[in-house]
Amino acid sequence: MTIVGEARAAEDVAQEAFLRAWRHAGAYDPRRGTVITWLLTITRNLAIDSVRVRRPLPLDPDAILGLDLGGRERLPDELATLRDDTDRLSAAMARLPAEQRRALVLSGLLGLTAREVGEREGIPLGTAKTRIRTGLLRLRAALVSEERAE
Amino acid sequence: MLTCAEVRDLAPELALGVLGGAERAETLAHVDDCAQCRSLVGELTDAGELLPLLSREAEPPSGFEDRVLAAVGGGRKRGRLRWLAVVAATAAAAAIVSVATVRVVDRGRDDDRAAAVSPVSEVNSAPMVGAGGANVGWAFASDGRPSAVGISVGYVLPPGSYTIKAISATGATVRLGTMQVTDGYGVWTGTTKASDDGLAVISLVDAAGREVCQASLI
Repeated sequence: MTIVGEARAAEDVAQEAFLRAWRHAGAYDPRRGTVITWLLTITRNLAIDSVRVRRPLPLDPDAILGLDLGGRERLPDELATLRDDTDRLSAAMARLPAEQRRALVLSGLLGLTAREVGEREGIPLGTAKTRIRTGLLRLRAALVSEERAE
Repeated sequence: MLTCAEVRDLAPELALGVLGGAERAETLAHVDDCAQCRSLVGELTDAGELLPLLSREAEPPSGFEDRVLAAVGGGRKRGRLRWLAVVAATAAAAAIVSVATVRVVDRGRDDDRAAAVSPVSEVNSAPMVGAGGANVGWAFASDGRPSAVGISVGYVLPPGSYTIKAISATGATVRLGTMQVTDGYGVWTGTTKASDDGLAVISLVDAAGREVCQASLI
């Protein structure tokens, strides 16, 4: 729903995702991540394919997520109360500079290439690549740091 | 062949699944041979795969589950097999491989089950392991009598007809049926009265009589 924006299209994507999961369950490798992550990756890829067919550009990433990613820093004790991956991910994303966060959402969630991110944001290709790479590395560092702190 | 610097430049897009065509193939070829770049791609992928978690959650519309199960069952959801489709689809789509056992919770959804099949308390699942330890697919088998069996394989096995062989917990061998592998995958569901003690091993045997994969359920 976040990516395709329409309930009917989201249902079609979700149904196809379950079908693919069923048909290709043997391809799942538990060493690569959780089942939920695997399912979400399948769903995301299908949603991106659907969007690319129906419309040329996704909506604004911050608006799509509807998250409080406006740059508010979470306090350390607030971080300690975050319990699941989604909360930890949201917190880590919120700590990224806004331009890196937007680049990650556009590419990692909405499926834009670095070139498309550059065009969308009005920045050179190299800058788009740097934002994506730096954002990903910072995101991973933040998540690993939180895991070790637990 | 790409250089490490070029691969570092492309690695984020590879990790996020947005790198296409020749660039993707060339980057993967480099990563296969370069431990340093492989490590970088792995780190980036670890973070990138979590991004879909940021999607807003939404409740599925009424009837969604039934439509999915109907599609998974391929129109064979009547009678005894419907509850197996529920179990297997649930296991495949939600929890199969992260847990060894899937407990079936009877929510009174399927009237056929009580009439046709003895109660099932749990469904065991195990990977179908092929040559070299490759994960070929998954097998499910319920306790109860008859025991319901579900098998799903994908990608690895060549197309063709495979005999499904099972060994009960008491050592008896039984032929369960035949599974067709087409377009890279195959699904089989059925029941057996082979044993009160459940099934210990399920295997697939190819046309030449070779056992190509096996799941150990106990």
